Amino acid sequence: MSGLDLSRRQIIGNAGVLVVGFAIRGAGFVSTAVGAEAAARTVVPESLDSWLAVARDGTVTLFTGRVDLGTGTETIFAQFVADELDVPIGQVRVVMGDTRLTPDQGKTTASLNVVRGSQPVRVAAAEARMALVALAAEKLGIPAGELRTEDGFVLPKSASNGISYGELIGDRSFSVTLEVAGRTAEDISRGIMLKPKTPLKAAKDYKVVGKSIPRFDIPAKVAGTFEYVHNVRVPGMLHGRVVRPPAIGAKLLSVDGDSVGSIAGAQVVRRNDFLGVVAPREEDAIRAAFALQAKWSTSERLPDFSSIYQELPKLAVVSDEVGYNQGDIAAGLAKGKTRLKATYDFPFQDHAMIGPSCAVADVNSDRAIIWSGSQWPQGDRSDIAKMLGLPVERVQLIWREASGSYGRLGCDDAAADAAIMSQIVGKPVRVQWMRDDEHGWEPLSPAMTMTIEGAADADGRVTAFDYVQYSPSHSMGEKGNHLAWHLIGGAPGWGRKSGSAANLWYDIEAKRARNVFVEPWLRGIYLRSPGGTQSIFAYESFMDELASGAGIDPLEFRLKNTHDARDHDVLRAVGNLSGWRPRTVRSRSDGTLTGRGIAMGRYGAGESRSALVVDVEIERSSGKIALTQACIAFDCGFVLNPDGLINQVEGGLLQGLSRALHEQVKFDRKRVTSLNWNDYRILTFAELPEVKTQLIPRPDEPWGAAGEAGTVATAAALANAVFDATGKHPRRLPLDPDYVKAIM
Amino acid sequence: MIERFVLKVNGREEAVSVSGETPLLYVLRNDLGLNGPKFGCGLAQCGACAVLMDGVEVRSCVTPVASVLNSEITTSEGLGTPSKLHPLQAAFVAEQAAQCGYCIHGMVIAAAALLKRNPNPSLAEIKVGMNGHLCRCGTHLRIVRAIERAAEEGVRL
Repeated sequence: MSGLDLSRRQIIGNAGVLVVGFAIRGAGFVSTAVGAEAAARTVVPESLDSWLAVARDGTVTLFTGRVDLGTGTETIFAQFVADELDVPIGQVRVVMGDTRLTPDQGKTTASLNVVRGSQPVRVAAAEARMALVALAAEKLGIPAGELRTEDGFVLPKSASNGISYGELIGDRSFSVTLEVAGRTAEDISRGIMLKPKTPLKAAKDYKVVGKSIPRFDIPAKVAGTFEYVHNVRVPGMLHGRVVRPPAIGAKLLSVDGDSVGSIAGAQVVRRNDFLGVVAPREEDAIRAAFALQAKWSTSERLPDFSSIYQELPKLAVVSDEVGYNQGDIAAGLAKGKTRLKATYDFPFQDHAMIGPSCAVADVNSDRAIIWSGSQWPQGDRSDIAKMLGLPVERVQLIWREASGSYGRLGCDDAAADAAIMSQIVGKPVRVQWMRDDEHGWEPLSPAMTMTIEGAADADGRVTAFDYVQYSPSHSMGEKGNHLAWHLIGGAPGWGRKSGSAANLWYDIEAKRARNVFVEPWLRGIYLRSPGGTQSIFAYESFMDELASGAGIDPLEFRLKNTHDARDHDVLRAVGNLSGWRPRTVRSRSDGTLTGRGIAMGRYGAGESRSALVVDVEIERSSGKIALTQACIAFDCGFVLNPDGLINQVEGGLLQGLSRALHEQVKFDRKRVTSLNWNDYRILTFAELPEVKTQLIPRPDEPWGAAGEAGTVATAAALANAVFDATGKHPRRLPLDPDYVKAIM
Repeated sequence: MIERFVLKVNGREEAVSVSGETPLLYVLRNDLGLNGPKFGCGLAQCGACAVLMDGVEVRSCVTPVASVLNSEITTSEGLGTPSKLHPLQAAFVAEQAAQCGYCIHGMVIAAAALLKRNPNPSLAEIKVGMNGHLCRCGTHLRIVRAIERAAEEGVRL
């Protein structure tokens, strides 16, 4: 038995430590359970024991490499285990994202935890149930075919008494081998799947999945005891703060260590251009970072902020790709009666999490333990190992929930910061970014400029739709593109292009999309439906402009251009929900304009879709928008937890409105200048509209993503409401008062 | 200069030795192990660090520890525990009013302060009362409903 197995056995077997799995997310932090050894090896996905353990008291612990970003994944996974294993959900515990304890399941991204990440969880639970039945058959001397499972017991089909799972296998190994379905590069990054030997349950047979099970994490969150990464403390730990350059690309020329000499225990930490401070007390580290005097070279790499959308298409092209392409665009344009060409601009935006990036690292000469809110524990582990010069086996990354991240962001950066600082000072270091570090240096959602030329015939059918977008990749964090690694030198850079336009769902004879990826000005990484959010803003704005040109109601116009029944259902549902009436431009005499906009969007290959109607009032004198109502109809196929889904959908809706109404990262020639919540506004309570939500469950359809599908059409719905109110269509975001006033 | 201070936190007297200008937030988190209050901005803009000071909400990230010595400080840990939630916290759970939950301690504190001064707030009063608190997940509607529920249930602070 390896050391790894031993430690797992201790965690599973000792009742006091078993609570750790739950306590990790619920209450206290027990460092001794994980800190004693460095990483041994990854838990192999072929072993059922890697995924599930049953304690003598019947508690079932699921080990998953997927993580919960505040969306309820922990609870959903427990629902799956409850159903596939036939065990009460109250007996299920979930351990997530510890590279020494949980199988590698790739990245937690693209709202695919359920669609992709839950698959091996379901297979493992189903195989565990079969293994328990086999054990009971042997013990009872009854053929397996005459046994059933219920509420954590195996029992004869005809009897009401049986043997509990705890009695059958409590604290012992299953020793069952599973088969991994594939190990392509995509499988590794998106998460491996297992080949089911036992058929998985059908949706209609679920008893727990499909119900609004309350989330496991919320009681501890409202009680203030939930164990976030920000709360991790280890013995001998120092507090670290980063000191970033005054300009992107500036080189560190000299540091005046005496400038922090009066601060108790403060120590300057430097490696090449990476600069930080550590101190025994957090407030002293903050004071030292503020006081530290350093000389940097000058650097002005960024473009003139006022011309970014003109400059984007002129940047060096990384690749020029065809998204979709069918029909003859020129012929389609010629057929149209209404012909339009419009350019839409989408700004750089922040993920803007409320709790700045934070990590704790304990690094010595031969091993490292990192506590991080990373969305990709295994990927980040491997990157940090390379950065530190340690074999990956000697690095353990322990995920702890961070502030909601909505795409990857500074969590991985903070992990690298903490790792370097700990390596330099030889003690564990906790790093939390300050607010201006987060707003100033998080990897952003890149700006995009999109041009569409299209036409509609006299009947309101779109005859041509020719789209092109210019944007840097939205995935520049996949290969160790950590800020700290750049500053110490030797970072491998970035290597994946993402942020392509959404697949246009309308039935248009001639449609074409070009995705032009250009060199970046700033680090970028995905933020809720990268490319989808931007392209759908353009698509659905353009559809309204075409509908207006054709003199057709925008809801009717959309119905005419898609023949998909699910598209029709979300559109009609949101029409009913909002009391949609054909559009007219209305104006009130008191200086307030009212408007209503509709938009729809799809996510993925169309497994999920939403339609929205947003109502606004616009103060004519100032251009200020008030959101009065927002309605959303949402279809992601099977609904696993209706209340949890509504929480995600409404969250995506409000975040989408916030992005469209307020959000824009600003910069000068040196660096980002929108460094706090006054410079970078997000939606507030006072601005909340009335919200009406309708789910359209489709248990027999393929499962779709939730979080991102609720947000993709919000910007267009809001822009279309402004169009309705003012008669002028916005061509860029955010819809701040100055811009709205300017277009009126 | 390091001084010894005695604070009244969650009904207990706690002695700490720190510099008087230290923001209360770091004392609560690092010296007293009360992790409910969170660092969000250090600028009193977001509300993640909010605590009650004699029943009134203050931002602990900008409140020097020396300024709270004669006051009763309350964090969410002082209201209830996960297994024995305060009725206000129970209303948040009943409405499932959290996603990532990083802001939610501050929301509970702000709701407590609001209900203390106005036990039956209107929707508009709730929106105004909570307006200095930011949530990025978009859980606002549920937070409002949790406060409405608590008010309907006659929760007293």
